[in-house]
Amino acid sequence: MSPLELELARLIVATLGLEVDAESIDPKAPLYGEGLGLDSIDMLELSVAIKKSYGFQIRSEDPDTVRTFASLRNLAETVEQRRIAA
Amino acid sequence: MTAPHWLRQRERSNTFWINTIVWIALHVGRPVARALLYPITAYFLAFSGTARAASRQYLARVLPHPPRTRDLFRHYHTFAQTILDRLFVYAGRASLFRLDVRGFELLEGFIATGQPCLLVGAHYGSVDLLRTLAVVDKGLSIRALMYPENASRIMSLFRRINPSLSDGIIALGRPDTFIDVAAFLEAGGCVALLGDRSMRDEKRIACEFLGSPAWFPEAPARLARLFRVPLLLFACTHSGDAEYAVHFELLADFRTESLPTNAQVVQEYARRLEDLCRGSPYNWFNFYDFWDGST
Repeated sequence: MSPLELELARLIVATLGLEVDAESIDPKAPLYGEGLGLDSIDMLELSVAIKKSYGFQIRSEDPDTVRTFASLRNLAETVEQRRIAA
Repeated sequence: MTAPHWLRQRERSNTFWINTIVWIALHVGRPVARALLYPITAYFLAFSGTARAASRQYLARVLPHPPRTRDLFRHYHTFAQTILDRLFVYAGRASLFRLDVRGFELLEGFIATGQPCLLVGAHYGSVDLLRTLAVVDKGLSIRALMYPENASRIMSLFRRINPSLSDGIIALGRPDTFIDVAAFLEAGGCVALLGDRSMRDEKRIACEFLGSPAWFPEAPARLARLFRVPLLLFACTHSGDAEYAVHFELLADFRTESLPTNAQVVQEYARRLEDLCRGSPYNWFNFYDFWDGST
């Protein structure tokens, strides 16, 4: 897990009150549905937390949104790119 | 992930009959179309086993006496009437209806001051009549969270009559569904959703409802809490030939300091829904086993 992935894993665990260790989240496993078992409102909470921490808004009209939320690794890639772009 | 009954259950809609009655309704008139609802109701009552069992089960809980065939008929017939009335509203003939509106100033007050709020309704009465009047006719800034694939055949027909119907709908059931809800609420908008049907893969709460526990989605309470907005209950009860009783009431206000738990809010929603059902039993339009714990 990269430092940013770990940072995001901790953000996810803290934001959603998950009963798992941030370190134990598989960066390649799906966040939504099976995998971490998050639902669409969890995704919303997460996007609000990401906006607060990293200053950009994930929007559903972005073609990459589904990909972004597919795994912790993809999410970290998006945060990396959007952070630089912003 | 299996879809629950109500999502799998195909609308029992016979295309020929639908097209015929639409034509009659719009070209001959509402009284003739309403008269046709009697044989149509009888047909559906005769050929929809599962839905009829669900209707009987619900009516047994809500009526003071054991349900009879005529009670089931009235339940189906009320549903048929609300669908027909939607057609007239979509076709721009809302003036046919008399609405007795209560509590609307609550919602208007929030909208006027740019206070975002969340509206929660149920598959009860005519949600679409209310939506059309509020969104299309009054131009209120309200978006609806809905499952797009349900009732597709009848909805595609309604969309032909009124193409603006898809405006302001946010489709449920995708990982990114709620992302735009955030932007919309933060801009001072209102979002409406229905709080009675739960999905196995979403967080839900077992609430006491008409005598025994049933699952209700936690989503309305979670969303209102996340955005710290007022949560309003809305309903549009069919109360007579061309009459509807519309009402809005505050369910919980998440702007305050002492917040109720999600379980308390959802149970309170179920309790008020129970009051609505007891007051107007035939307006409940969940024709599946609502108390089936497995879905």
